[in-house]
Amino acid sequence: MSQDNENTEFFVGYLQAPAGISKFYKIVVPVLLLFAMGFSFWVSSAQKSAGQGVWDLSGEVEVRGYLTVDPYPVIHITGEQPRSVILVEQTKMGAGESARPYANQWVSVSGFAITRGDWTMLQLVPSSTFTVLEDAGAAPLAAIDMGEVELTGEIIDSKCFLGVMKPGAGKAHRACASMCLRGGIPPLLVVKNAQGEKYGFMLMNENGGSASIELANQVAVPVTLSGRMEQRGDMMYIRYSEGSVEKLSSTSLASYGESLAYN
Amino acid sequence: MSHDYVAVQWNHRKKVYDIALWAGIALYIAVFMLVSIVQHPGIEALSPMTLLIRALATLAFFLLSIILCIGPLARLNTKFLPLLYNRRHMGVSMFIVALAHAVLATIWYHSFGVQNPVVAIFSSPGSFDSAADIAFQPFGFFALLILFVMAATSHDYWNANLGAPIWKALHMGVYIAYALLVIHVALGAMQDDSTGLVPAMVGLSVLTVGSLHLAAAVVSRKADKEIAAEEPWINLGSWREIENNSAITASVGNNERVAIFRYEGNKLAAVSNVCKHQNGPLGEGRVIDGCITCPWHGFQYRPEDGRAPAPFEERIATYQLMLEGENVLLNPLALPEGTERPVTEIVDMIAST
Ligand code: HEM
Ligand code: FES
Repeated sequence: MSQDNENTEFFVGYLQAPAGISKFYKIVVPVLLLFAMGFSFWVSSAQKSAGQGVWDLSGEVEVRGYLTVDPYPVIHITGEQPRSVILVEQTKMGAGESARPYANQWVSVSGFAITRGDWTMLQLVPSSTFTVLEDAGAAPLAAIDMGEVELTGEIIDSKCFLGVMKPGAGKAHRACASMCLRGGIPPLLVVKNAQGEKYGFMLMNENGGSASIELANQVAVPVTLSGRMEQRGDMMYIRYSEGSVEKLSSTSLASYGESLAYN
Repeated sequence: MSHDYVAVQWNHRKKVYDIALWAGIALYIAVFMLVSIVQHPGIEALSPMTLLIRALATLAFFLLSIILCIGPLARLNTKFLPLLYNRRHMGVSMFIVALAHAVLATIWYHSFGVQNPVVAIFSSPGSFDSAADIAFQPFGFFALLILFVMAATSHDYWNANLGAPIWKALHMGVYIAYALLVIHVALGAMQDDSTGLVPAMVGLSVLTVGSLHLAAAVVSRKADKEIAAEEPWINLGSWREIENNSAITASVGNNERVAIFRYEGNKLAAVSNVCKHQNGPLGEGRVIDGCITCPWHGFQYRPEDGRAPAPFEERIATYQLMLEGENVLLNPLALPEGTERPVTEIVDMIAST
């Protein structure tokens, strides 16, 4: 009788591991760990920049200007450096309700600033209150008609795109963008020109009303749309024609230049 | 060898395994976050939450791919058996990582809005007009559900109470979950990706998992002696082809597989190839301390009667053998589980050399 088959490789969980096996794992385990780290490095380093939006939660800022609420609440700062500041709530909600009682007056209000390039947004906080200022002159607003346009770009929710979520565009973010629009956050059409520069146009419907809810299903994919462009304060709007929005989703989104999530 | 049920049977080796596993998980997430913080500093920084969601997602997918490779690797080379022994710990850890990804994604993308977050997963905008337009979140949700059921029933308690065949079938669900996740990624992250990274990641995984399964299937088919069940006594060839303390396997009709062991040099015994614990391949096991020992988790059976040594109670089917010169003949009709039958002895080992 022979016990010839010396056990050097066969592993049983509750017995002492054979020497051959222990040696094998002293190599395999570190190799596997290194492989995992390499994989992590590879995947992470392939992520692209999501632009230069900043959601500054370090301190509240005060904005003073002329408040309009149709179709979206915007404070127009006049003077040397005119600027139109979009107002939103803390969550995925527009600030139309809070702002409406103070419409068409000079106000000041504080909140957290969200900025990206030339764009500024103010996120109200629960303690934000609108203070009506002494009449500081005539209402500065007249809409300037810029004519018919047809544009190709991506409809995004302005709050996430301007800096709250990075990236705040593209398919990964699509469900969120849709939720934001349904909550009344203003939709923005972001367009890239041949030089890769980005332009944003606030979208409203033909009657000049909010287009948030009606565009909630057409966000985060490349589209073409047409309508009339107009300037109000420091901001460009498009009154898009109903039925003109066409998804360009026959191709992968990524092949629409770079996805607009990226700079 | 089997056991009573305790929460988890810990031993030193499992602890080392778990420490290595969770150190790896922590390191992976740390590397992922750090690389991005260095690469996109200051106002270019990506949201930490997005980074975490992506780190957890890719890590869960990586772990799942490894888990799916362990089975075929262990069939191709017994050196990988220790990974199999602790595969369930890796499975449960992978589930925890995937769950963290899903919960954070649901909070980040689907909460704080006008709709219930879980409902919002299913009302993500999209259409079936084109692949780019199909919502990807529900695929992740259903994959998570499958992974949850598997993690929740991973303990031996469920295995014993559901019965090995049902448990095994349930745990085949992992392949459905894997397929759902490939779709989740292809319709989601891949649509935003212009670097080719995401298709490379998914392709690499599918290719590795697929080819290892194929290779393992080919190898175990080759090892099998294929025989029609009706044949009365089947000739399996010389006993010399059976290494001492090891087995050869044969399939006898209806997917029944038999393991024929040689042990103590001159004894031969045939039993079912299927372990009562989790259907482990007994024919790839060894005879240790006089017992057939399963390669997966070490359950044991006596070659004489197919019963686990006391106090354990598992029983497997046995088969009759006889010798015709050097040739081993197998009766393909299984005897009831735990039936004792005479062990076949090779009488004149030298003379027949
Ligand atoms: C309720 C369930 C789930 C939801 C809502 C969900 C949501 C998401 C979202 C929003 C993304 C895009 C993230 C981004 O790129 O910023 C994503 C990506 C991903 N998810 Fe899920 N997910 C779910 C379940 C799962 C599960 C169970 C897994 C298991 C492994 C998984 C694996 C992945 C992977 C691998 C990616 C690609 C990450 C990348 O390459 O950046 N997901 N998921
Ligand atoms: S010991 Fe677990 S399958 Fe055999």
